Parts: sequence; C-alpha cells; structure tokens
Amino acid sequence: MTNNALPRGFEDLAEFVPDWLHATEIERNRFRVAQPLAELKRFYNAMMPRLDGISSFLNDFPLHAMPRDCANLLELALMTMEVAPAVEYYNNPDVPESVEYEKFDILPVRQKYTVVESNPNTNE
Amino acid sequence: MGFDTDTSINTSARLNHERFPELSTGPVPIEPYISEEFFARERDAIFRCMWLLAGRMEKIPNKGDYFVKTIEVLNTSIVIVRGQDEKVRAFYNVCRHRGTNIASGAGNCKFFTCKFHGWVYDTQGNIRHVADESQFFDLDKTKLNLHEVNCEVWNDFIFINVDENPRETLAEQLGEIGVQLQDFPFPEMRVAGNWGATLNANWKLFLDAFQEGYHVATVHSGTINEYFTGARNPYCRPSSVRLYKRNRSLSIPFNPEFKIHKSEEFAIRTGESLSQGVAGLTKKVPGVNPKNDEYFSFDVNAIFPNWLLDTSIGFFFIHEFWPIDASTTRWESTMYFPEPANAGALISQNQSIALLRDAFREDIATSEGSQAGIMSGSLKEINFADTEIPCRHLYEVVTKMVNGEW
Repeated sequence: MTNNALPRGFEDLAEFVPDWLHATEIERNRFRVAQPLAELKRFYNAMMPRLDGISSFLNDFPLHAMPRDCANLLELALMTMEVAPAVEYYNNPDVPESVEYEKFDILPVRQKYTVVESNPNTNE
Repeated sequence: MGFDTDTSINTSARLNHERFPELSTGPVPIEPYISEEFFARERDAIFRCMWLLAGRMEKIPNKGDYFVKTIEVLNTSIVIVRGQDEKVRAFYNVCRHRGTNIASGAGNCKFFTCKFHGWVYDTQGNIRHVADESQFFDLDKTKLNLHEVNCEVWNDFIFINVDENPRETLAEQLGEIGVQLQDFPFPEMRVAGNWGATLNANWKLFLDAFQEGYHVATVHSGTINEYFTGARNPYCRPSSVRLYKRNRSLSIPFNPEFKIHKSEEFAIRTGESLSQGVAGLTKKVPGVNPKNDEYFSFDVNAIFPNWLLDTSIGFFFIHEFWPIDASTTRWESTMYFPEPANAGALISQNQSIALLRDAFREDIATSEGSQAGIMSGSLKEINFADTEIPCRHLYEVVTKMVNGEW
C-alpha cells in the first residue's frame, strides 16, 4: 500500500491524489485560491456525487485511528467542502470583494482525526 | 416582548426606537472612534474595570496546562494556568524579581522558571526558589508570589479582571445573556475554525460591522446575502432586538426562499450546518432564539465590552475585538462545533467553516475604509438607522462609562 492509496471502490478518484490532499484548513484554502476555477469545478463535479458514499464508508472507521487510505479519502472530502463555496457561490477561486488575503490569518486548530500508518509487512 | 417578525421586516415604523425611547436618534459624533484621548479614557473606565474574555477551558484540560494572554489595551500579559490543585488562576506574566515574563505561548508545566535569573514559581503562583538567595537583602518571600489577577469561569469561558476590587461579579456583567445561555451546550463544543486580522479600525467601528444586518445585502453580495435577504426581508432586518444595561442581543432570520446548494444539502443530511433552514427549526437548543422568531438563523449576543457570542442550532461562534490603539484592533473569531463523532460529521462541519470564514473576509473588508473615511476630516458625524440600534447602544454605553457613569 502506498501513501497515495484510496480505499477499494474509490479508485476512480485517484487522479486527485496526492495534489488535492491537504491536512489543514489553511493548506486547503491556499490550494483552492491558487487553482483555476475550471479545475475547481472539475474536482467538485467529480466529488459531490460521491460524498454520501464516502461519508457512509468512512463512518465505519474511528476518527482517532484512520488508516492512511481512508484519511486520503477524508481529505478529498474536506477539500470538496473547501472548494464548494467557490463553485456554488462565488464562481471564482477566492471570495471576491473581501479583505486582502495576506491580511487575514487562518489560525491552526487541533486536527480532528489521526492517521495510523499501517505496517507494510502485514498489510499486503 | 419580541417583534412580530413580518411586521418588523416590512414596516416603515422605527420599532426599535419605539421600544427603547431612552436612546438618542440623532447623529453620533466621530470622536469616540478616532480620538486617542477618548481611547485612553476607555482603557481606564472600561478595560481596566471589567471582566474580559481570556480563553476557554478547552485550552487547559489538564493540571499544569497554561496559556499566555497578551492584552495590548492594558499593556499587560496574563498567564492563565490550571494549577496542580485543578483550580484555574490568572497571574501577571511578570517575575517578581525584575519583571521578566515567566511564560510564553502555551504548554504544560509543574513550575514556571524565569529565563532571566531562574526564579521558580509553582502553578499556584507561590515562589518556590530564588537563585543564590543569600545575596539579597531582607527578602520578604511572602510578597514574592506571582501577582494574582481575578479570574472566573462561566460555561467554560475564562474571564479575567485586572481591577483589584471588581465592581461587578462576572454573573452581573453577563447579565440577562448569561442567564439566557446558561444551559446552551457550550462545554460540548470544541474549536473548529479560528481566524484573525489586525486592522486599522477602531474596536467599536470594527465590532459594529458584526452587530447589524443592514450590511448583508451589499457586503455579502458575493457570498451569503441570499441566505439572509430576499423579497421577504431585503435589508436583513433583525427579527428581534434586546437591549440591556450594557449588553445587547439580536436575532437574525434566514430567507425562507433561499435555495440551498449541494454541499449544504449534504451537510444538513450528515451533520451540523450554518444553513439548516427550516430543518434546523425542529431542533431545540436551550438559550437560542429567545423570542421564538420565525425562520430563526442565529443570535448575535454582544457582551460588553468587546466580544460577540453568536449562538445557533448546533454550533456557535465568537468575535473578539482587542483594541491596540484608537484606530487599530486585533480581531479574532472562533467557530465551535461538537466534537465530530465520525467522518460524516467532520466533513459536514467543514462546509460551514469554509463558507463562514469567507463571509468574515467580506465582513472585515469595509472596516479599514470606514476608519480612513472618518479620520479624513470629511465626515463629522454618523447617522445610525433604527435597524443599527445595536451600534448606537454601544456608542451610548461607552460614552456614559468614559464620563464616569457606571
């Protein structure tokens, strides 16, 4: 298993791994505002119909011990939520008519999930 | 008494003035928003006397956990620590030797050791060690414990008061809002998003941007205006307003015709969401929507002097406005959700986090421009509409206090 793996059944989303995987809000936001709108829409359109399936699949794994492939899938879903307002509301990667990006601090918060890296010797 | 919702959003009557006739209606002078002299009076009459929000218990869950709160308006830094006896205390972050700070940032410790000459204090503030003590002259160690600051906790919010003899208890200062929100599930909530900005704007002018709905149709035209505005309430009038001695509260209704987007549909299905709409109204949360307004979205609870505790169904967020000088303010906002039980809940929370954060970037965009405008000498006074009565109330309360009224 590589670090870029996705759980079985979600392999079709592999094209977004690892570029769209970001663990924190500030990283997700920085990535979003740096993408062309068309890319955001492509990601959103690929992800949105899968969210219910992703959510019910991941709910079987405790947040405090997420296998790496599940955490990858979770981070794609979190990125979908970051991208959503840009696609649904602004039609623009960043929020228009807002305070300058560099004046606004997105401060760190405690991560709500923990990844358990599986032992490569036992996980083949 | 709350307003009848449909009346309040359609009428040309100035209902707030009718209910609170003791408040003025005329233009407000700009001096309180630009004057360093006025600011110095605010510091002495307000910030040196009142309970100030310092943080939440979430930051210090274990014995020995501490964090440092720097309060520029008081020129001071405070250490808040959960002692080895579990009691939460606040101390000036000042070594009793030559004044050096004894802590920085946040962490866990059994003792605070001054980095200058190694004096040691325990987490209850007692001096425990003076290096090379024999070289001092008649040290009275009973006077060398850390200087304690009044500290009280309400619903996991930690407050400090640097007045040696506070004129009001914390409960008195929280007043009606504290009573109303006593049973809101604050202790279950955890930080989910945290944002900040230091801007060239007076703290009251900055705060005012978050205590009226009049700006929504314009400031949020690129984001969430249609969630709040629409044919029914084009100017996002509050559905009810409550003015107290210094605190104030208003309820903001959503637009029932708003068509929610796919990500919000998902979030509502799966967990908590900012835009719960009608679905959210079936959930009852203690302390929110006190007048049972139709189409309730969230309450703005302005707790004097400098913070807003905005509560809704399944989440809350706060805004803190920390003055640095008359025209500079550090704003910090924090959004709180229940600890997510599973991935679905976590994903759904992130829908609101991203949207609200972006809306806040709009909210604060006009503050520096307004400050520059009133400092230009062009504008001599401010006209507040009846729907902006919370801004007028803040102005009047502050003016009374700097003039010595308590």
